[in-house]
Amino acid sequence: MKIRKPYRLACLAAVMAVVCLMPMLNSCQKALPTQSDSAADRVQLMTATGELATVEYTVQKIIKAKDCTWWKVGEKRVLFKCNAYLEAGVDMTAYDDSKTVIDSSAMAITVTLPKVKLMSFRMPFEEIRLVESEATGFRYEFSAEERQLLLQQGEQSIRADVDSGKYAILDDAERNTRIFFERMLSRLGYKSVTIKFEK
Amino acid sequence: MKRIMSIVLSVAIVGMVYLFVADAYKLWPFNPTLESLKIDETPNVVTEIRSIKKFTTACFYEDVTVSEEKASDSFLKNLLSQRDRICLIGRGTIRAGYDFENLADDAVRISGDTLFVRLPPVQVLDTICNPQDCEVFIDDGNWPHDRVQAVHSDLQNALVDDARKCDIIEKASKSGRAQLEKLFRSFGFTTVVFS
Repeated sequence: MKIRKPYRLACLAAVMAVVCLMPMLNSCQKALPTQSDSAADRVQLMTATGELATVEYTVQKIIKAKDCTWWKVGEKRVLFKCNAYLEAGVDMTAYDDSKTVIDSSAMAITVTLPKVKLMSFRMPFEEIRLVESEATGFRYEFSAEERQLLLQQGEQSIRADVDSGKYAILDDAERNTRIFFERMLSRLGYKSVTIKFEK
Repeated sequence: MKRIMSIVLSVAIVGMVYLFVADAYKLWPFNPTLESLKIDETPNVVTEIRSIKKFTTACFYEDVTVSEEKASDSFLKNLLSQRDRICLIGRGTIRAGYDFENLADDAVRISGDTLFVRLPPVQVLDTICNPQDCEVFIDDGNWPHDRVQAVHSDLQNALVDDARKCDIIEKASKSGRAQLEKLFRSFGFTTVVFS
């Protein structure tokens, strides 16, 4: 069959487009990495700790982003609602028992505890709610990788607030730890309990 | 005129092939680079402050890889027998210990210099795998948020399973008892008996 001359270029273009794209399509489906069954092949670490957490803050954040520069055709936007949990207290592995003073005759005790600190920061993925996600024109909705990047920025924003001392979590932790030890030592029979914190 | 027609037709065919493939493989030209993505400034609001009594006595850290495949929504990918795939790499922390909220009122008994303590059971207190601890290594196809959440849930379950296989409960129990014994001894008791 003879192809008419004006359509030869078109056919050639179509064939070239498909040929150029095929290697790209094939490269998209490599085998997925799998978790090794052997524990020895994985990076694992177990440590003994002694962290007594006495206060928990729940921080709520709206994470929103949009991408709508004028030269792009269409726009896309996303909105998440998420919770983060901060726990603070004392690290009892740093407890120095030589600083504890007991007066048996007066049933009085003075305990010096390590300085309070932030114990953990938790932003559970199951509590991250996607409220809105839309894309218009030649745009896709945010991909899983892009959404993950936005959530990481949200986490960074909360951590920055914690680091800047915006929350009184350490003061609350000190107060709650003091109450916890005062009650415990009262139950153990002490009539006078003094709780101090290292500076 | 015929030459112009053929050029227009060629461009149209290449364009159509491109659109077809771009739709299947997210090759739109106007998508942002990951570096340019920024969230808007929004306040972080403390919604609850509560008193807790969690004593973490063992921590387990691990890097876990979880992959998932599903049938693609794209006609072209289905035609080529290709599937949508995702692979997450997570660095998680499992914290185990005692929750003293569950300590019974009669859990502590004194007999002379001996202290009897009935401890609550050791449990996994927290599974921590925050967004900054998790990387989307492969993101191929359309993965809605709820599907990613399910994959993330698998990742967390794998972390907890591995921690239990490494005897986190026993180690937390041993470490916790040693630390509590040291603490109670410093409070003037010569013998501490746990049950």
